Amino acid sequence: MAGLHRAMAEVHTWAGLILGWLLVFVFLTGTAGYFDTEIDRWMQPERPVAPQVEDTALALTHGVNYLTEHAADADSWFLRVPRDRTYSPWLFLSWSDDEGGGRAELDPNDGELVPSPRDTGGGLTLYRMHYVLHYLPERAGEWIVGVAAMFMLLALVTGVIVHRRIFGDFFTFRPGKRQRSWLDAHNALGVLSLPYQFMITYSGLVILAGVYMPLIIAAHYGMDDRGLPDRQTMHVETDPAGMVQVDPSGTPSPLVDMAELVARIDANWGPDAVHYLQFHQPGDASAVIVAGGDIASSPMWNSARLVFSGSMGELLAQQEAVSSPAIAITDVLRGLHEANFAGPLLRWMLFLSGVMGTGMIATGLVLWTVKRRQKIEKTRGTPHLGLKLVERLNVAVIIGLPIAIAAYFWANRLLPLDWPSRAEWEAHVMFMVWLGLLLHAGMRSTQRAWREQAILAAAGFGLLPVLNAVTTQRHLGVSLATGDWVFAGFDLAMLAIGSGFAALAWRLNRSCGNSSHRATGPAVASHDSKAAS
Amino acid sequence: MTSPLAAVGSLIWAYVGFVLLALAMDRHYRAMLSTTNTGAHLPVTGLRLTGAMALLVSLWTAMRAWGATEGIVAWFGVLTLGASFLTLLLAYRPPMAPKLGLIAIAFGVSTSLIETCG
Repeated sequence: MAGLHRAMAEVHTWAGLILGWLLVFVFLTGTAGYFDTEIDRWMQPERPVAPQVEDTALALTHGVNYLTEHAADADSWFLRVPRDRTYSPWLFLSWSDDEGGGRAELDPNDGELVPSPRDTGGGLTLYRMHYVLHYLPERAGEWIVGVAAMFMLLALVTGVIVHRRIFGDFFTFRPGKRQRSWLDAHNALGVLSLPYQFMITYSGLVILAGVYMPLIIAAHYGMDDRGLPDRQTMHVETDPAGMVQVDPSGTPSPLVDMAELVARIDANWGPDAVHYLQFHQPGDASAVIVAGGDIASSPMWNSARLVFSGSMGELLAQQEAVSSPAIAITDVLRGLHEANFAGPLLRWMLFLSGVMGTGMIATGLVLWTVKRRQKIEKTRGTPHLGLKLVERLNVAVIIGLPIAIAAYFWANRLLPLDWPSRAEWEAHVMFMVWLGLLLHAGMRSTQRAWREQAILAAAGFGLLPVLNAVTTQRHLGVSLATGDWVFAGFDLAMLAIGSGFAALAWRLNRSCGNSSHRATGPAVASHDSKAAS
Repeated sequence: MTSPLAAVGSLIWAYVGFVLLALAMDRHYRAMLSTTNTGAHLPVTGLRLTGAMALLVSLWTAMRAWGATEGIVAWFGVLTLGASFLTLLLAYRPPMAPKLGLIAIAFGVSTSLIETCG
């Protein structure tokens, strides 16, 4: 048993160390993703606050009118009604034709075209980084993140086995005891949010299972013409309504009235449940309309669909939300992971759990260095290169990455609006700042690097509301007064994060004056030692 | 539809439950009551049972606040929040934890009464 325990501890330590920095990146950008559309909107300040949808049928009629005028010859149309915070807050339209297609956003109530915002990556780019990374082909990113997620799962399981006193040390955090404190923090962050950490890691792997285990698809569905696993056949079997193919008859025919269509959808799903419509061969006698339900209506990703004929509006087929147990389980895990169903309060709790997950990994990384530093101090040895490297990478990732994310927001406001490839440059700025902070951490002593980067992080986040006030008309005074909660919430959150880093910087400053502590982590815990003992 | 009062109630009951569970643990018992005595005379099983019951009330309240399915998900968030708050209190201001616990019971009972009857 002791042998097993030691083996598990080794696996936990080294799996955590090697993939820890990447996992901090995945967890932090993924956690920011809980507010992806809010970040989107903050990064498009020229757009007004979107109105509530007053009448679903009217909104869809505006959309169909616009598409009839601008994309009459398209092979397919897509219309999405804004239901909640998920996706665009406007009536979103897109179409595909021989020239590649296009997209537009309309005011759902008066049908006016919403002007395009500045070119920005928005919250979506930040959110996508957590599963495809950046500067890499999508599949490569997914594989790297998948390997990291496997190790995360391994680290969670081994962590539970290694932690001998899960119940004995419940609610326990003993500040001011250096290694003990870091271990307590690591344990408390992990144990208190453990169900979330398991859920998010496991569901992340399941969502991309088709990427990681393509041969399971091949075993059941065979190979396609290109010699790859036949995903097409799988999708047709698991989601027939989503894979509808329609050949045009060549005979034109007007589309069914949207009020009538919405009434038929409501008869099946209840009022205001339709989220999007897909039109195949609109304007042709063979047209088919597929209606999809609100994905945010419950923790289970909603894959219910209704299929109508385009000209008559008759119900042709109905796909239930639960069509097989396997699909239902996948939909629940996907729904839980993406959390579109979560309202504001639950969203903030999930955000907190994500931050705790990031903190668990970060404290684990710091613990690795503190442990080795303490041993060196006892034996009066010299730190080896690996330890110095890990110490510096810790600063650059644990504080440097948040600063880089703040820089991403700064770039959104400061890059000239006509800057070529502006959206890409926002991300370039983020990664250039991060690289700069890595170099900074490499050149300063670890203590100084922690302190200086904490100060920079405090300024980087704390001053964002000021930057917003200077560069837009929607500063905190305006957003609070007009009830613009997306802008007010963003600014207040940045102030809170900035204050958190300021508090960290202040404590690092105090503990630095105390020369008896040469801790290698941010010596936050040190100065409390007298108070606690 | 989320009921804010029930959501707060769920958090309060989770906190109450965790304080009771912590009182059943020697180290936290001593810190909370600022005593060097052991908690040996305490009805540990009773504290644990009532603590667990308060957590179940928290689950029930969460399901009233968020609906049955979403409520279960939200309850895990509530547990994380409640336990983290208590952990911080026990680290920095342990005597405040049981006092807040008493206030929480009063609040929990009244919010639950208002929320279920009103």
